[in-house]
Amino acid sequence: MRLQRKTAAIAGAFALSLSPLALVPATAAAGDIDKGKEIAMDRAKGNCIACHFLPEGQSPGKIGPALIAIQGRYESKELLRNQIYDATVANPDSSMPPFGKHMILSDEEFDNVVEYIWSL
Amino acid sequence: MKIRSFSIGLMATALMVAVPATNAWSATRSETESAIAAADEARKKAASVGGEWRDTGKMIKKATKMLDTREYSKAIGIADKAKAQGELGYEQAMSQKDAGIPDYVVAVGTPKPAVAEMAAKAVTMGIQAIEVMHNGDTVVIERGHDEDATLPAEFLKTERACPPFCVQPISAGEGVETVGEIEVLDYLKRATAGEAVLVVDSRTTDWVLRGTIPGSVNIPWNQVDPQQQGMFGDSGDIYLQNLMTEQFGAVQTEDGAIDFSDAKTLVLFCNGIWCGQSSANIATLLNIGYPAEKLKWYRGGMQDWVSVGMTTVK
Amino acid sequence: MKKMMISTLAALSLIAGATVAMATPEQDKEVWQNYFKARFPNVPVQDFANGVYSIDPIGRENWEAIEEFPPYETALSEGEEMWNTPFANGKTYQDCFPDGPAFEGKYPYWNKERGMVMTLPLEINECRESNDEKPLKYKKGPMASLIAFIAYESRGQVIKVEIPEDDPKAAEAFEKGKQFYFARRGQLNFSCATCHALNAGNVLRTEILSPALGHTTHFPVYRSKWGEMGTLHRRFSGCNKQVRAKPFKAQGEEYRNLEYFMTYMNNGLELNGPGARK
Repeated sequence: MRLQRKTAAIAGAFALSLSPLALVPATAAAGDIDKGKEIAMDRAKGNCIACHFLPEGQSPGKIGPALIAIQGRYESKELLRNQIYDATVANPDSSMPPFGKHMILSDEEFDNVVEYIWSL
Repeated sequence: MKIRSFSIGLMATALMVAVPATNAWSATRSETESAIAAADEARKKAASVGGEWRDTGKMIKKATKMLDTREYSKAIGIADKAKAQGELGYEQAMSQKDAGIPDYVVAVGTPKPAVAEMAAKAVTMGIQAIEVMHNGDTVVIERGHDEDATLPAEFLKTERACPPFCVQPISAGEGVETVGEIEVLDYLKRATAGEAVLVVDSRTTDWVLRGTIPGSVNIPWNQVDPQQQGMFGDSGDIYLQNLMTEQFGAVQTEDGAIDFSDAKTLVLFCNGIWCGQSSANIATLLNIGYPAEKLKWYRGGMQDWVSVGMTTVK
Repeated sequence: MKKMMISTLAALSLIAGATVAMATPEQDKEVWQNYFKARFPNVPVQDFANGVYSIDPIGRENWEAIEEFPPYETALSEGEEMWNTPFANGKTYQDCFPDGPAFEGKYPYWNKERGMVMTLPLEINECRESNDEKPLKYKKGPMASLIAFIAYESRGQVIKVEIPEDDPKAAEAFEKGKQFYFARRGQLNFSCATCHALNAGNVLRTEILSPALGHTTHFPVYRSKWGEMGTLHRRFSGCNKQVRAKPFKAQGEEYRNLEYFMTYMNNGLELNGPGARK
């Protein structure tokens, strides 16, 4: 009996951690820049390169602004994080998918990408 | 007794610590089935409004297969993600119910009313527009307000009874110059600049209210003519004398005569070549001694003015 | 967003002197076509029927070379053979469609009795079924070949989709197609307009996004990516999948209404199918 309740709690916590609620950006752990870069270049993952110029990126698209001097455009990592989470908040006509809100990336992938972009 | 339950407790704790990774122990089949059912509910709800996402169904199928392989925790993970997709898809579709042509398309694509090039709106070569003061307001006189405009209703008639609407001769009096629109514009400019010039709308007030030339002053012809005014003798003359001195800049000398040397140049107009009001005005003024060279007659009047789309004010 | 829309509309109404009312389909079409003419001022209007090749000079060169020996030639011969081959009962497509084979310009149209948008593939299958033949699949294969032949014969016909005023359901279908076009969908949250209106002419990775104006004129297409012919609804399905939305049924209500809207917005352009694309 005790075992079942405890594992139910574990399963519940696991499930909750996957819900969109949990992905609302709060203070997040520092991500891995190299892994973030891979995600940004990967067509199946972030695919940032499809629309944005990225340093060392092959055949970047020209739909969004070039991802350079990011810290000159975003005052904090938090603000950058919000933008990547759901760009339609700042611009309802945005062409950018809501990478956080729509769970396109996992939590870890999201943190890594934010770290990478923040470093540009 | 005590030792036995203690060792059972110890074994149970050891098991709880040692076994957590084994899926069969972390969740049950029925919990997994609930998660899958909930996910499919959410998926169907999204589908009902056309908002289902591409992978939701696949994820649910994958989780369902895992029931057989007993990967319950993993299956629940996937099912919950699928449920979230269903919920997001539903919300998305609901939020897009009023989707229509976006602002950025409307802003660029809405046909704008024909705005003619500045040069094409000129009054004449070299004259674009002039600014005048009318009753304290600045008014710009120009052409080309509305590409599709036609004559106002009151100027459409061609048949008018004569009298009173008789065709006027080219001259309103000996020495009185007949002028056109370009000259009127020049006089308006000079009047606004403070020179001793006055452009006078000679029509009765009811006509003036339908629209007049900006910068003009309304002095109805029947006020200038004491007979029409219905005043008798002296009071009519007094009115006229006041008009002379207050409005026109004439000076009354001690012996009752009027000195016109500093009097303004008057440009009079009324409705057009079928209107006798301004020429009546001019006749009256000539009678009382107003210098002919200081009287100008805009014979074309409002009819001509509006025929070329010039600005009017009401 | 709504605030912005209201103030934009108010500003425009001050300029245009119009009241802020629901636009008619005719007005929608004018605004839509004006938008693309303004975005691509050097493209002659009829050239929009060539899709991305109206705005991509390098792509156009390659495309013109390909059109010397069009990849859809096989489909054309297949389609012609199908058209001329009688059914088992001796009847032919010509019997169903006396105006054919150059009759693509009729479609899509609103059928008042049945309360639905009729498309060419739909009527082809109805012709087959009424002659005891099996219906064809809607996205590729023989259907695509037959339509390719019909499209080829119909080249030059001017698109003039009508929304009959005597049936409000026709206008409803148009509005539904319009809503579908501009609604964001899928995990990637794109609407058709996101790529083909807002970002028309922009580069997505290595591809230039084609403008929406002219999209329906040149179907069916031989798409190199497919290695074969495909119909308009096949492309709808592919686009929906690309934005990670679940696609709708080919020739289902959603895609037929969408086709109705999109084709109406191309009124005035000439048909120029079948096409060859990357």
